[in-house]
Amino acid sequence: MKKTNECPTEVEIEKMLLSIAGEGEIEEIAAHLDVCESCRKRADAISAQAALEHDLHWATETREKTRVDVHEPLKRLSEILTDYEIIEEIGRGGMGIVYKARQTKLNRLVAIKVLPALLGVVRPQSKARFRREAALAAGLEHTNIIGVYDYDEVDGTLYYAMQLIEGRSLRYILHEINESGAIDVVLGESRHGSEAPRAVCSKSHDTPSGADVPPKNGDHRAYFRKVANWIAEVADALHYAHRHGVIHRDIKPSNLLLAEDGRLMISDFGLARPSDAETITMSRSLVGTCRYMCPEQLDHVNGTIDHQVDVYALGATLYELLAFRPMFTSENDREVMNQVLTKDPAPPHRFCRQVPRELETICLKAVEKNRRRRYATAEDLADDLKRWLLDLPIQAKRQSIPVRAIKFLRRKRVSVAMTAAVFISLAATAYLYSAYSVSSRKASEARTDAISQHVMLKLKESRTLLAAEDFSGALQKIDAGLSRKSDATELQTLQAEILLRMGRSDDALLVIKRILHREPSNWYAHYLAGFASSRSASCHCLSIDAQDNAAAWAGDERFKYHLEQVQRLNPGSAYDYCLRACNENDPVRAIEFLDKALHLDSDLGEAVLLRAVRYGENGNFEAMLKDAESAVTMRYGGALVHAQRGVALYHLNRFDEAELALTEAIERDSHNVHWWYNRSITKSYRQQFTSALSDAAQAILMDPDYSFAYVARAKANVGLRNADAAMADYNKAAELNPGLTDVFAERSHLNWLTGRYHEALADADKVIELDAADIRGYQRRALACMKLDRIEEAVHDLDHALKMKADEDTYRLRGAVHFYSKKYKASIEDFTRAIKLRPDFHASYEYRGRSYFRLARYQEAILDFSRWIDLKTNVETALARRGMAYDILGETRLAMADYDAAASRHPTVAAYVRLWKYLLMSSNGRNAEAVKLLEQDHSESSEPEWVKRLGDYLLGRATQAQLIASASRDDQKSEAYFYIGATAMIHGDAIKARKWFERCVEMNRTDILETDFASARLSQLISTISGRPLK
Amino acid sequence: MLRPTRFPDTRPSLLATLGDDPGGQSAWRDFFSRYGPAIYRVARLRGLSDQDADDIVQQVMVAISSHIGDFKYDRDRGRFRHWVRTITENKIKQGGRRKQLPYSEGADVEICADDRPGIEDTWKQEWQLQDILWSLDQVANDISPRRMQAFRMYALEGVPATEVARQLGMTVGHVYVIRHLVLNMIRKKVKTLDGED
Repeated sequence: MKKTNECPTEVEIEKMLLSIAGEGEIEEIAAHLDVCESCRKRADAISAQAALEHDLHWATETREKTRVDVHEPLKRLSEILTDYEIIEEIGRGGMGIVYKARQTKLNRLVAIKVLPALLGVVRPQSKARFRREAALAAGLEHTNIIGVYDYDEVDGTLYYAMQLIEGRSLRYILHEINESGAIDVVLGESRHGSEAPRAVCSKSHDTPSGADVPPKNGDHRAYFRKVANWIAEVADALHYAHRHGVIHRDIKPSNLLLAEDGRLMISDFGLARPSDAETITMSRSLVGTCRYMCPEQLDHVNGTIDHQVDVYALGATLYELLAFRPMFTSENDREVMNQVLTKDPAPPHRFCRQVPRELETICLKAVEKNRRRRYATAEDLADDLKRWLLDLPIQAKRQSIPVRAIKFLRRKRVSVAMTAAVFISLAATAYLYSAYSVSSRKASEARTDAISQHVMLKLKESRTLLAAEDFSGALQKIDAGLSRKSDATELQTLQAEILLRMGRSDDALLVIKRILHREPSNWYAHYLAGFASSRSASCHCLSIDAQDNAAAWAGDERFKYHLEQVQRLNPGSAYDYCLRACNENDPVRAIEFLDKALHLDSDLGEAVLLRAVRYGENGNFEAMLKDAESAVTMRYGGALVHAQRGVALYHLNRFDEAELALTEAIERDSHNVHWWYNRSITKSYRQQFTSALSDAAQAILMDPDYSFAYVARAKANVGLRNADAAMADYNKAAELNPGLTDVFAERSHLNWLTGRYHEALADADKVIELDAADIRGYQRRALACMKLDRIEEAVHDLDHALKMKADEDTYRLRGAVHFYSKKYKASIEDFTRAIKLRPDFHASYEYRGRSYFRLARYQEAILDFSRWIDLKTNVETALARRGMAYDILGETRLAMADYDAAASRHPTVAAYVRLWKYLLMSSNGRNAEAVKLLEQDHSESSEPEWVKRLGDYLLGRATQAQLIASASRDDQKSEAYFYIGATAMIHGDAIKARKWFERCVEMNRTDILETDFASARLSQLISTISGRPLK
Repeated sequence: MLRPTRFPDTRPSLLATLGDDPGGQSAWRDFFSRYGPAIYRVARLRGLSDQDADDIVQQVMVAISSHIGDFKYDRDRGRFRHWVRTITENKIKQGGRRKQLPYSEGADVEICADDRPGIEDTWKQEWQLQDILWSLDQVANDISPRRMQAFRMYALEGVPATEVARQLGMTVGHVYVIRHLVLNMIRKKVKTLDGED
């Protein structure tokens, strides 16, 4: 290297600058450049020549201009989350962003966790898993679990609305302890006063290298009790979750939040996360997490993953709270994983000698590498911690009698100070009774009194909440009661009742089993068990197409056993009759039983609900609705009742109300896939196809094997005119459930819509073959026959369907067939009947109006078209048709107004409207104006090619022959004939006009507006020729 | 058993993590920040509005995420880029098509010409841009923020060396040297990317 005063040559400096690497070189060259201006100039010249710098300028500028934020998808968050008002961002981490928000409907503050598009979930099956896990997590209600209120996935962005907890994570707290060296930070009060005991943790000699744990100041006893209490609560919460089939899989300090009231709460339940070692080992996002993963989670070959992963992870967290350092400290994931698999953790007292040995024993049992030696359940861990807190012998390690005796003496001192949060298992209490002195027995008796009072209180509180239909609140009170006395029959009975009302029959059965285990002759428990097992057997009873319900209701062995018990213990009671109704295949007889049951006990909510269901099976939807509604007023309540109400309303064609009822059901319990399906179908009937599509998609995500859901999605797709997607869904549904009539009925319809009439006919025949009582088979058949010009057969099929049921659908269809076969009077009759049954359906007005139009009864047609416009569906077509009627009547101004209104709504309609306005103006002698209008708009490129050709013909730019030659399809030909006729009419050539109008009408393209137009003109011409005046 | 070979010592290529790791969030973030802007810009160059271009980015990301499992990344970045390009062009076409033609019965869908002039150049430029920016960001991670700041100010924003030196508390000579140091580092990074092609 050159000295600072010797200038290098140009070549030399270039070489130097292009090879700078080490710090020494940097200093040296910098020092030279500091003093040598000529070298600085050379340096500048070199970099100015470098194309790279130029490119960098360009690249960074371009980036600034079009910056796409990694979290860009979140910016539209408030547009997606319409129910929430985002207040502020409160956290940001690897898993997403957390916002504080207000749920506007309930006016409560929530935390919304957003996993940015693609960051949380990648594959479709992961999405399904997200749904499942989130649904399960949303069902968890526990004071130590941060509740998930709501979750969804919109355009790949996942969000969870959760209970808002403004607290610090355990990770943060541990960090604070290690920073400050004081453990008092967790005790919630300052203990730094001079009288506070100051114990010192010292570093042991055998501390592993690189693992310095500085001494901590503060009240260690209080600290470790606090820690034990926290972990016991969290373990209880985990056990609760495990019982509900939810495994957290990612317990670690950063997922445990300390709420302001001192509770430690588990967050992030249900967040999609890697589930097996395969993904874990490939993931780069694991830093800091694998420390809390148990061996079997890392090494999936050696074991299955179950709830014990959470026990281990909680143990590892406890370890950190005891030792103030992680169990394995390496920063390298691979190293940590190896240690997890092979290395025994150092006992925490090596790092902090104040750690109570028994607490340490509990901790080490929780993090046992061999899962068989670990605590079997989180509850076992919780119980041992509570035993330690009460100075009872812990189970983790056998101890000698003298040790236990010492513990007992200590326990006497604390027995009075027991807190409600502490749970004593009854086994332990019984053990104490037999083993120890009278004084302890007295203490236990006093406690038993306190406990029974507590139970009564919780029972009362729970009933109050139940009356307000707050099921989860009521369950929480019961849980609180059961935590003091786990075998309180009253509490468990109420718990089972509530679970039943919530539709959680299987959970209810579990609770009832516990009662019956203790009290085998409890007839009410048998009754509840019978009801629950019949309910769980008939999970399909709520699908709209409730056909084989009866089979589902009966035939369950467990049910029969409980029925026998009730009949033995309490014969002839309302409960007896209610269960007999469950067992009855014939809905009429079942309803009789239920009438009897309700006569004996008119408050029996189950009987009312059940009768609603059975009325539904029987097709008596009025009665079904009445019962469902009285269940609502009885406050029997719950999602089930609303769903029943929705189904009844649906069958009564009251779709708006049905949707509301089903929404209420879903709001109360979003986990029932049938209700999503039902609401989707209902929405499709209301022409709300987009929304129907999302409901169906939700149902499919919840259960990808649920064939009905595909039918619903297909139906919505038909409405949205996505024929291919719909067909794929029907095929999928048919594959999943080849006996499902719905699929073939709907597929037939789709085939019909897409012009595949023979396939449509085959599907309709399949429906009839599967279920001759399903009128849809005949309906679809008729539709197909109509298009295949087998009109008589079509009418015959529909007559048959109407004999089975005087349905609105069928009348409407027969009306359409009559219309197609030009029997307009019959058509009007049928549509009038259809309108009577369902006055809010636009198609009936459309076709009745068109029938009137064909009969030249234009005033009546205008009335029907106006009603159609009021219904706000396909308004552009409605306006166009009404305009046409005014046009024929010579009401030029009204016709023009309707034409313009139609044109403003749809570009294709607008293109045609121009042609009609041209015809209207020309026939009024406003020729020049008409030509100007057509020519002016003609230049617009948005006009479909075919309409342009029609315009060209009207303007005389194409000949009649050219026009006909360019019409490649039937509908185009039909249109061409009309415009040729209309032109002839303007030119006063009635004969020619008549000829072309006749040709147009003969083609009978009922889907083309011009056909109706031609038919009207034709009847005008005929009446003119026969001497009657126009109009 | 745990297979230690699953842990490559060097950072695996971006794609290897994308496909095999459904939860690989940081890989996705990388991907999003690397390819997102390119897709966005191409969409804008095709005349889409800001929001529509955003939509396209989303759609492409979703499409890629759901098919990445099918894609075998055999150290062929060029092929992957071609795939991104194909998806993007398709989405732009579909998006544009939706805008132009509301559903009308029997309407034939117009077919867009794929080989419009300029498409090739646009993408080439995008990939180049992306490589440079990625390299710049990588280098920014490798050196001290103060040095990076000096480089940005002097080399990219044209602040005089004396001013940069004053503001950042270094000598003018340092400013000059840093400029070359960073350029060298970026050049090296870009070269390793070219090697991947």
